[in-house]
Amino acid sequence: MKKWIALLLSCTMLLTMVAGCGGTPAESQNPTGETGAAGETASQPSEPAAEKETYTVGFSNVWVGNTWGVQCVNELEAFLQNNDQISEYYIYNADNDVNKQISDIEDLIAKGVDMLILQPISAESVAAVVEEAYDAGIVVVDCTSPLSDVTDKYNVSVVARDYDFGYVGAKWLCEELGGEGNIVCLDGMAGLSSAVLRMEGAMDAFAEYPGINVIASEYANWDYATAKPVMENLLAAYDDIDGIWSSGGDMTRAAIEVWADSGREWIPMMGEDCNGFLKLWSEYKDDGLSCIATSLPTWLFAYGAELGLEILNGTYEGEKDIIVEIPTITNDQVDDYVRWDLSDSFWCGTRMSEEDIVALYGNGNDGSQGLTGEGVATDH
Amino acid sequence: MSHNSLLNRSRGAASLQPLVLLAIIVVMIAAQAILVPGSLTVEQLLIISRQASALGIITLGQAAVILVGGIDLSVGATVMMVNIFCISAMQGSDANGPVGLLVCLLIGLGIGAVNAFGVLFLKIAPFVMTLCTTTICEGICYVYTQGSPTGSAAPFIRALGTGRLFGIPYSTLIWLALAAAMWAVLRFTALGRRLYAVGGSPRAARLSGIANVRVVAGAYIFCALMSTVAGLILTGYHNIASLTLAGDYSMNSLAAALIGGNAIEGGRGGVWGVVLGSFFMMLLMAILTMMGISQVGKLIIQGCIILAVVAAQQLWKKD
Repeated sequence: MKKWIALLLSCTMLLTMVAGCGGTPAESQNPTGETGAAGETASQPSEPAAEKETYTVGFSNVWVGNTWGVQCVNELEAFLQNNDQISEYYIYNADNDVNKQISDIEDLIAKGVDMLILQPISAESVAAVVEEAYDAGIVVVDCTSPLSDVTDKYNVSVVARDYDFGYVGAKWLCEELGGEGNIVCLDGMAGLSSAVLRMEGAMDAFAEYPGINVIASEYANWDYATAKPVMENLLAAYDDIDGIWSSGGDMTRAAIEVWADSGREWIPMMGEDCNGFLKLWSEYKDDGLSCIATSLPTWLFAYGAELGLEILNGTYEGEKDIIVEIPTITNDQVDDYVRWDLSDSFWCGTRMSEEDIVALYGNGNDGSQGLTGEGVATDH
Repeated sequence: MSHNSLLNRSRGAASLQPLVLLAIIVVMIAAQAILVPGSLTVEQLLIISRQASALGIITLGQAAVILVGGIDLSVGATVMMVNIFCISAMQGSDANGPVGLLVCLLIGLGIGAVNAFGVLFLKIAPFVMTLCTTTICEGICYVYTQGSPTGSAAPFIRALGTGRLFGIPYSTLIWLALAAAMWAVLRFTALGRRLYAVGGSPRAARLSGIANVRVVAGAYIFCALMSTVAGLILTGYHNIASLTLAGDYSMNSLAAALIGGNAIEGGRGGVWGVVLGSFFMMLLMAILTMMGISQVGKLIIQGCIILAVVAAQQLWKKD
């Protein structure tokens, strides 16, 4: 009897698994030039649209494992949909799997795209297939991590540096404190390169001000839930904290909440430009909370696509390797950026049109449904 | 009569261990006062008790499962699922409170029942069964939220996690009330005696007419319900839906139960040791954070201290 139950159970599980795998949606095309043109364009093409050529674009993404990644894809898709020079586009997610990324790019080459945008998981492993694309005459746009160490067969590379992210926030803190005070740092995740680089940038900025002391630095995994007890414990240990530097993510929100609970005088804090943090900041701003939001732009892929289009049109005159300046939001700008009507997982330094923003993040949505409504994580 | 005294002995064996642990905690608090001057206040201890309450409540459930000779690795996943679905069902409004609580209750009962079914009827080792439940629950959460959960807790859940009564956090009070209730059940009721009997010797318990299946199933369901309560408290404390809320609760609750002097092979252990064990875990982390020890050093020291405490417990254990 028991054996039968076990057998039945395993069969059901197997069946569900098979059904689940079979359900992976086929890669569909998105002929969107018409529908997108109805809305406002995110970035206005300056030339007359009369005798313009149209292009096919392929994007090979690493993954959409967090809200930032989700919005990056949304911004790109919004740009592509709203641009009447884009006839078709494909968005593939490699789910952090190098082999999938290589086969994704091969697939895009086979589909005959005119422009390939990619966020490489590892420059070394995609170098060969990127060269293949370049040699086939495809305009290659590299985003977020540089390819220049392994190959020069790409057309443009757009990078925002984590080092700058940490440096800019730290520099502001030092200025805000008049070059003197005790800083507590909320670090990202031990051993992760973006955490290390952000911290490196911060330390270099702090070193410029001899009056600044870093009295504690703790890892909180960019995570609200981890940061909250860490912040409580730091508060118990130090009664002379003058400023908080954060590696971003959702940690500053926890710091603000703990600080508000403690009833201490507000001190300057640094955070990243997510809406949840901006809401709290705006709420306590008049009580004396002073912050800066630095941002690793979510529009990086969209910007890459814009430059790629210029290259295709033959109008591009910029550098080959572009390092984007880190955008910031300051105390007098926060009320312009904060969006009380949108979800906490919205990143405020966006370049999307209002229409797209509301469609993606309004009405309790978190953007993960994507502009097509099928979910940003699915290949389409 | 002799039956009773036998049971009392197994219950009494653990009675010295909470005292040892209490002494260790007092020493640690004293050390904190010396190493981080000015940091030791009643307020700070209350905050640590609030931080410890979720782990403490989960560990009560874990202790019950360990007592009957099982193990439950799905407590963290239960917390995560309760967090996601509670926020999703309540939509930040008290009006949806009853529905949300009902959903959470069903999640708890469901996970507990599935664990019990697998362990008792399919005869799957508890370790494997609850690990499977964990991965299934995590999968459901990822699919349901598509990787990016959002929303905030209803105000009354928020109060549950952050509110205070006479300065003492609600969550601490709930934790202690649940612990007292569990202690009374274990100490004074027939059900308590059955739990010890089943864990001590399942065969002997069965031969003396105890329905093992019901007792063990009850322990798993109780554990899942405790994780549900902890999930609600954590949801209120953090006020967000998060896929990382599950944290290390599975391993930490096991560690806390063992530090509390409960025997991993079952049949022996008490409630207050477990309560102190959970408090000890959070106090240790807090002190290491306050001392500004680097992440690497922290992990090593944490491991060594837990090892030392468990070793000390073993030395004091009467056999």
